[in-house]
This record gives sequence, structure tokens and C-alpha cells, in this order.
Amino acid sequence: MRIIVQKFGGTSVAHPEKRAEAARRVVQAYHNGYRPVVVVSAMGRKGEPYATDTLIELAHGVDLELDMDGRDLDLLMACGEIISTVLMAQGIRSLGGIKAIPLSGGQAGIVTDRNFNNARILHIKPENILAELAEDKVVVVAGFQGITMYKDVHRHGDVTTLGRGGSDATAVALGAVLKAERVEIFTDVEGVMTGDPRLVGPDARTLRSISHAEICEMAHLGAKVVQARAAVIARQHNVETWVKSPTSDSPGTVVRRLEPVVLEGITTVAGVAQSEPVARINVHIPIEADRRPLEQEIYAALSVAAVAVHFVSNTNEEIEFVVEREQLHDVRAVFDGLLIPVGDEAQPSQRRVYVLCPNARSAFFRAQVEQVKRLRVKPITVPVLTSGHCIFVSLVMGHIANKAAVMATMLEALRTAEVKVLQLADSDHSVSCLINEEDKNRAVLALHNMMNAKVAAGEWVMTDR
Amino acid sequence: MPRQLAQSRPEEIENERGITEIDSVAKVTQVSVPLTGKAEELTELLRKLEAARQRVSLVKIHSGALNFVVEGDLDAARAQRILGRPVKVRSNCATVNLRSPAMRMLHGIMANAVRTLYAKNIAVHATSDAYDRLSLVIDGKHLKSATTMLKRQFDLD
Repeated sequence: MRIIVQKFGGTSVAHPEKRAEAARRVVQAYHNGYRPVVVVSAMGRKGEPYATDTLIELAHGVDLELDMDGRDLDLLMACGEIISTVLMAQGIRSLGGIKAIPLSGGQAGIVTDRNFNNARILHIKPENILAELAEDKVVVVAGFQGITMYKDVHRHGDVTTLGRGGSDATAVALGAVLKAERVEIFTDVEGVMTGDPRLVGPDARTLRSISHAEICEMAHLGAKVVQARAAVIARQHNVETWVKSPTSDSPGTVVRRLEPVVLEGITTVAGVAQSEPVARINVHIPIEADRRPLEQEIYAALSVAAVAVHFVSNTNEEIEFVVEREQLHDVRAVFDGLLIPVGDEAQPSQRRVYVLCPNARSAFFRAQVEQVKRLRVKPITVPVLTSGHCIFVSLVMGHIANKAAVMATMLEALRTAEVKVLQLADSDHSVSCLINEEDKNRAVLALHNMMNAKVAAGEWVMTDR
Repeated sequence: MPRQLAQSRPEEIENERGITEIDSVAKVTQVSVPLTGKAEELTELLRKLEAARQRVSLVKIHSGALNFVVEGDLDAARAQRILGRPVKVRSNCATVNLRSPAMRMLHGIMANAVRTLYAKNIAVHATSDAYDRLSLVIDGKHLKSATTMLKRQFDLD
């Protein structure tokens, strides 16, 4: 049995004509000898009646002050995809002669943990899907959702959702378990592009192929074409995945099973990615000897506030890191007036108390300072500098022949474009530059032009050469 | 075929969301180059490292210095010759890498890592991270104990 998994996103199933186009793709695959398993997202985007964001708004509209239970929210959000499955199955049947059956994530055997709103797929029991395929039916599975295991304390088999873009993860996970010949992810663009066409214009090119390592890097660094978790699952289970447009005859991009081909001494490039806005935090360390307790307490406080840090860069003089911009408020709140006592308690003269200060006008900060003074200890104010208007731009590579050379080339291109680089980060497959958000367009364009110039000069090669 | 698949043991699809692996690079040198603030200074330094075919990583811009790590030994005199200015070199270091497929979704990793190392009086000289790893530069003599402690801390022993 040649199984193909085809995933259609929200815009691909938003309207009757779009669903008809998607259904024709499925029927075409069926007639080409495949047994299609179709994964669908909720229809449309925010504002449209059954889109996920619309359902969330519906729930919050009941009482804005009342927190929504994660389990309840998942039960609600899962409805969007279930509606899509029924309409898609009906659309496939309407094309004549082909049987189709819609399944929820739970019915499809997708078992997750209990991390509501962002559940992890534990395993998939494929029996139901295989039984339906054996009866020559096209199986239409609701993306983005699963079900918890039936256990004594949690006996309900609760519906869970997989987080933003979770339908991609559903498709790739099904592809892995069903040993699908291929997984096709239909999206708004023709495939994985070398840069965001809205920023780099017609020079953005669709890659014919890309490796799992490169797409993982690209997805995590901000490219939205495939969900990052789906890219990791595809890499881990070696799933051949095609990214393509439902309205184009272009073959799209294949995420190939092979790791990047290494040409000795030659850098292989895949594209330029840019992140969502992030916030940069900088804490000055006034006394070098106190670095360790300060560092420890600062990271502990962030951990308690469930703030993940990245772009971490510490020296004896400063602690610097980046957080998602949505978490900047949490960081300021947790740092406001945070007291960090240092030194021997038995020797008051050796005692120092640091007071973190992200906002000097904060009444709580001033109260904390006064409290320390009452203990007859001189408070040491630690200014916390925050900027919520940064992003990082990255060059994604299959192979980096000389990282210093790549960094120098990127810095030259950015300097020419009058973009200030605030910090660097590197990995086995990328170099990223932290910059001010206002420089985003110029930075992405400059890096993309630089990449193309290097390729044209024969100094670098594209990953899909 | 369907029956064979149906009878097979369920395969784990997504890894645990935590640290899944800890590995290390035993011999690295940490280099700190003072900066004068000249506009083209960073690229000039990187070009010199390129010409000397130095394999650099964990490159960080700090106020007044460019810090990075090179694999293997690099003594101060040679580093100075390459870069054309006095540099600070910390030899006999090691890099410990904490790996996870979802590092940027995790909180508390830095907190746990520094608490574990500082409890054993192991200094962290530099840090760097990517979407799938957090790297910590420590003195090479502590590599074994640091790895053991971190594996215990993250339930990998």
C-alpha cells in the first residue's frame, strides 16, 4: 500500500472553492495509485467563523476576567479542525466514486501527554486509519489535536491540542508511523524560499530541495513555512516531506532524507530567516566577585516565572540574554525590586544586598531600597536595561566552511546597509545577528543580496544546486 | 501489511521536552580581544581569524571586547600574531553542550546548569546557545565532574 499524507492549512480549506481545489489534489493522488491520508487545519484565519483564533475569542468573550481552563480550551479549539474534516470528506465524496471518512485526532489514534494547549505527541495507534485505508477509503484526520491516554486518575481521554502550527506536526507524525511514501504540506507559498519575498522581492527563490538539518534550523530561526516541531519530527523519523502550493503545478521543495552534502572548503547556503520581535535584557554586574550569586538568582527568578532565555552571553561584567517579546512584561515584573543578598550573614560589614532595577520610578523598587537601608546594609542598585524592539536575522547553511569568514561577510553586508549588530550567535548550521527591529527590512535584503552575490561569484553554493 | 503495522509496538513520536543529551569538546581555548570601537574592527578581526584558518565558535560581542572560543590549543603569543594586538587567552578549557530538540521552549535550563556547576565551585567562563543546545565553557580540569553533575541534574545518568 503506497500511503501519501497530504496536509492542507487554514487558507487552503477556508472557502468552498479552496476546499474543492484541495479535494481535487487528493483525488488526483488516489488515481495515481496512492492511499491518501489527509490532514486539515481549521478553516480560515482570525475573524472567520470556525478559525482557531475565533473560537478562542468566543471563549474569552464569556468573561474576560476569568481564566479559561486549558482542558476546556483544547476541547473548544479542536472543534475547528473537526469541522474541516467533515467538509473535506464530503468534498472528496462529491467528486464521485471515492469513499472518505473524517476522524478526530483521538479517533486517528494520536496519543499525547496532558500538556494542554501545547501537547507532545507520545505515539500514534494506526489501527483505525489502516482499517479504513484497507476498505479503500480516503482518511481525513483533524490536525493540531490528540487525546490523552485513558488512565485511572485521568479517565476521560481528554482532547488536547498541539500548539500553533500543530497540523504540520500531525501530518509528519502520521507520515512517520504509517511509513508514508511522502508527506505533502500545502501552504500559501510555492515551497521553502531563500528569503521572505515580502522583504527581498523577486530575488526570493523556491528551493528545489533542502535537508532536514537545514529546515530545522530555518524553522527555529523564524521561517514560517513549516512548524519547527514538525521539522524536528521529520528529521528524527526521516520523513520525506514536500512543501508546495495547492494552486500551483510547481513541484515545491522536498525536505530530503539526506544530510547536507559537504564540499570541502565550500560553504553551502539555504537562505535567510528573520525572527519575530524579541526583547534584549542586559544586567550590569557591579562587583566581579559577586557574579555567581547574581547569575544564579537572576536565572532562578526567570525560571520561576517560566521565562525561557536565549542568545545568552555572560561575562564577569554583564549578563545579557534575549526573551520572547511577549515575556518582557514578566521579566520586568520579576526583576522589579528583586533583592539578592550576597556575603557572609555573620559578618554584617561584609554583607551586600543588590536591588534589581528595571524601572527607577517603580514604587516597589523604592520600597525595597528603603527596606534594605533599614537593615543597615547599603543597597547596591543594579540597573536592568531592556529593549523590546529587537529581532535576529540569520543565514542558514548546510555546511559552514569557515565560520569567521561567514560572520565577517555578514557583518560587512550589514554595515554597508547601516545596520547595527548588537550580538552574534552561531550553531553548526547558522549564524544569527541580533539587530534593532527597525532595521529588519534592510538587514534581510542586505543578507539575501550578499548570499546571492557570493553564490554568483562561485564562492558559496546553494543547498539545492 | 496493515496487520503487521497494527501489531507493532507504538513508536515514540516526539522526544521528552527536556535535556536529552550532554556531550563535550575536551580541548578549547577562550580568547578575549579588546575592542577600540573602530567601525570596521569586528570584520577585520574575523578576517584575520579566517586567514589563519581558526575554527571559531561561541563568538560574542561585549562592551569593549570580542570573545570567542577556538578548538584545540592557541597560546597568547600566536593569538597576538594572528590578531595583531594583545589578547587575553584562557587555555585548557572545555565546552559542555546540553542538547534538546526544543531548547527555546524550555525555561530553567540556565538556572539549573549554573546552580549545579557553582555548587561544585566550577566557573562558567562563557555561554552560547542555539535552538537545540546550550554550551558552557569551563576549565578543562572540571570537565568530567561537570558532565557527571549535569547528567545527574538533568536525569541522564
